[in-house]
Amino acid sequence: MTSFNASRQQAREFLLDNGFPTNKDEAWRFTNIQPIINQEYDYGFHPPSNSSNKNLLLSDAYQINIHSGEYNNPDQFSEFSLTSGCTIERLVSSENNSTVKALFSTIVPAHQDAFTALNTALFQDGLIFIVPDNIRLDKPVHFHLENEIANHPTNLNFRFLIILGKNSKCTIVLSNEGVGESSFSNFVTEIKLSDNSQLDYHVIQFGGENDHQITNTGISLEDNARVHAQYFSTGGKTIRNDLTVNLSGQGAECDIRGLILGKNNGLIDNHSLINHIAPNCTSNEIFKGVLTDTSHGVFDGLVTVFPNAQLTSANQKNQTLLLSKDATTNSNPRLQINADNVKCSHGSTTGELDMDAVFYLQSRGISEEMAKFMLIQGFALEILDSISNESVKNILQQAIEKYLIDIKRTGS
Amino acid sequence: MTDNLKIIERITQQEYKFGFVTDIEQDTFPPGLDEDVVRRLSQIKQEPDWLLLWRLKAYRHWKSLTEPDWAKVMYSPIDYQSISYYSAPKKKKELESLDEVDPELLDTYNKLGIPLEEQKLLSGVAVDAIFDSVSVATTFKDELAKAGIIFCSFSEAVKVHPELIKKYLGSVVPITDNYFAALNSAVFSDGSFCYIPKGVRSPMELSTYFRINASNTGQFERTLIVADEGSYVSYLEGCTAPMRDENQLHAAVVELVALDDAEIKYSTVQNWYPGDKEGKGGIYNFVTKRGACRGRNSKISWTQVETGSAITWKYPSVLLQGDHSIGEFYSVALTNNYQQADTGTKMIHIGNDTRSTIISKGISAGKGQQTYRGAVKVMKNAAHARNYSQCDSILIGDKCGAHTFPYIDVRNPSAQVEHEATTSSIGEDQLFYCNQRGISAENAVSMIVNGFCKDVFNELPMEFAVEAQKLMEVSLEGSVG
Repeated sequence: MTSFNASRQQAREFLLDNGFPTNKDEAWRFTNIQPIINQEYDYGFHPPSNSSNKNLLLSDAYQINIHSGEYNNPDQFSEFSLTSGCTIERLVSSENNSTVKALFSTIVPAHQDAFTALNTALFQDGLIFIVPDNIRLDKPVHFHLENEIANHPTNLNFRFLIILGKNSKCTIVLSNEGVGESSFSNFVTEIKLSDNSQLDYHVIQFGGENDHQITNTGISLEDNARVHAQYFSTGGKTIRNDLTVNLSGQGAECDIRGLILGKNNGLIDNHSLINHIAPNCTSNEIFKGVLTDTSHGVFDGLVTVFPNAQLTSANQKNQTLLLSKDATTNSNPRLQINADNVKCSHGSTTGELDMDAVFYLQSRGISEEMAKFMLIQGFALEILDSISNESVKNILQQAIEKYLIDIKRTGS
Repeated sequence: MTDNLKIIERITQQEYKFGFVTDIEQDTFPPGLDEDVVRRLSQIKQEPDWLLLWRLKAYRHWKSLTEPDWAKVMYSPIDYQSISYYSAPKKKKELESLDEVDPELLDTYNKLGIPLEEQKLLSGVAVDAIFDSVSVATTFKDELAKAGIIFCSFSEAVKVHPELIKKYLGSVVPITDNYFAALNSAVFSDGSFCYIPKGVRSPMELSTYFRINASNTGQFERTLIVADEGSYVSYLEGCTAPMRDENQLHAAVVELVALDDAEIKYSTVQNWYPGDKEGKGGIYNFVTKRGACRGRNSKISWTQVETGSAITWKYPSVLLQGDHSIGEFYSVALTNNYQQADTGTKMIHIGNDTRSTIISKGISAGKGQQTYRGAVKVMKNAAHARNYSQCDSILIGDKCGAHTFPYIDVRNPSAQVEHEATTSSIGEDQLFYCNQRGISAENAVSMIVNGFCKDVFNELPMEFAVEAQKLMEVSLEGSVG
């Protein structure tokens, strides 16, 4: 592979040649990136503040804090490696690592889109995390980022390279809590799952009022590997997630779930591509959205079944609840099928709260307000059902409750 | 799966049954398109100035556009300068009755199994038969006239009812709508016009048979149907075309307008030449069809059975402007050999309490590629809109593709929008079950496919339902051996 510098240079050239997308580009039709790109950013590191928000602390996890690209305590890596048997290193100092050489910028290539190119050209740092063969981690690994308030809006381009060895198992939580003024975080995550490995992957995004979060994740699965990926996004000015799952090994399985809770004038935009490349693979995808105020939710999912991927089973579902008259949703659940012996389906529903159900609850002595609260909560909680880690589940349940109390307070 | 392989083989080897050429002298423009061609065309048709200006405006707009490439279809670029933009059977004299129609022409219809006399006598269907670009025979006109219904060729309507044409032409599909609509607006040769007055229920099904005959002649039909308050009309359109090696372009525009309490039912059975089994030849069908439910409680329903054409690019849409208006779209599309279809619908909810239903069934065989592309849009002020969409596909053979691209855009919380789709092959267990009960594999496939399409066939008027089932049977005939 090429050196980081060469990759940076190539990505830079790609960006200069192609520019940023506009709403004329199919994949960016609903994502207004003007507020992101018309801002001057500070690319420096800023020390973490002491007023760290503790919303996102898991009770029992290997916690690794990434604050504006700097780490709380570099020693945490060696300590972590010792206790877990895994390897974790800073990307910038791993340029000669053979795994990095082999995989860097291959699962999510820089030319995939402008923001990936931007990340590849300008990444301040990243982490490489390797779970060796047959290691099964008992506790989740939690990467936590807080966007700090700096004097200037900051742009953090950060990368993850995650490799699970054969028969290994692990839970990874990646959380991003934006508190900064117009800060912009741009993450690229590359994940490779070897044969029979199993990954629970959680992305938790709490957007600050004016911040922008963009993630681009690529997951490549080999024979019988399994991934359970979960996106939880709320708040923010712009949240845009791109996810590409390549089911390249026979018998691989993916279960993708997402919940977006939109408020104010935020945009939460989830794009996913699931590629059934090998036969006998299964994919399940469900995204749910609750939108209020003038928020805008987008789901764009494409499932592609390649010509040889017989015996594929693919499901895709998107459901959105609109709570205010100014909320907007776009749903494009797409299927592209080139093999005949497959079972594929997709569905999409959009609507407001079922007033019959509200009435039913009211007739049982539950106030209208409470009835609505319960119904929305029930709708949203379905997404959390399959989370096996209790402390992750608790955090998300609390976030849902907080969201519901917030919207009740603002009277929408 | 040897059975299935045989199916594919048999299907792919099926020759187009209606491929023959009628030898009639034709008045044809040399290939090419410029302002002069538009002027000459307008002159031949003795059109008023306003229409010529309208055409020229469309032509100038078309020149500023580039051909769209977003559809999931592949074809070599079309040379618009190699197409002749006018061709008409030589006019001998005004025709009074069917006897005066060129016998050779009548013979063509007989071969197609749509003898005019028979239809006139037996089925009670009024046929405005279009042979290439000029209407040659119009039947049942008197009977319709009695009810106050205007049903005539487009050029006649321009002469006799200019006020109606002026009011409605381009009001649903403006010249600036898209590349092919702009081209059609500039060079449309003829078509049908239909006006149903207030409170009239059309006493018969109206139908037009299109037929592309002259080599290298693009067909640019224009259909305009206006249903005035409280009226009802069912319009049938069916097509077959002779076998040709060169690709033929068909860019039609259909505009429907439904006023208060009016209902329009538009049904199509399309069986144009799909190209041979190497994918050579075949019709390019780039059609813009759109209906506007302008009035309260109005209803527009599109039903289509698409088995022909090398490439289909077609999205019959409904603008639901009036409160309580209803839009429906029922479609069966079959792609075989190298056929490609990118088809679907758009339902734009603008008025309050509007409803739309989309049922789309796709069957892909051989190396066919099929895409359902649909949009459901609920505008901000469209309260209580309701949409239900179902798009299912069956794949026969492992070299074909079926794709589903729905676009759902909701801007009003009271809307209820549902979409569901499934894609699968005909299960071996289903075939086995039928075999077990003494049903041959061939009949079983035909049964399963017909059952799969039933929701749509049920929506067709009786005459077409029969023809549609026949078409499906022909396509699947001998498919299992």
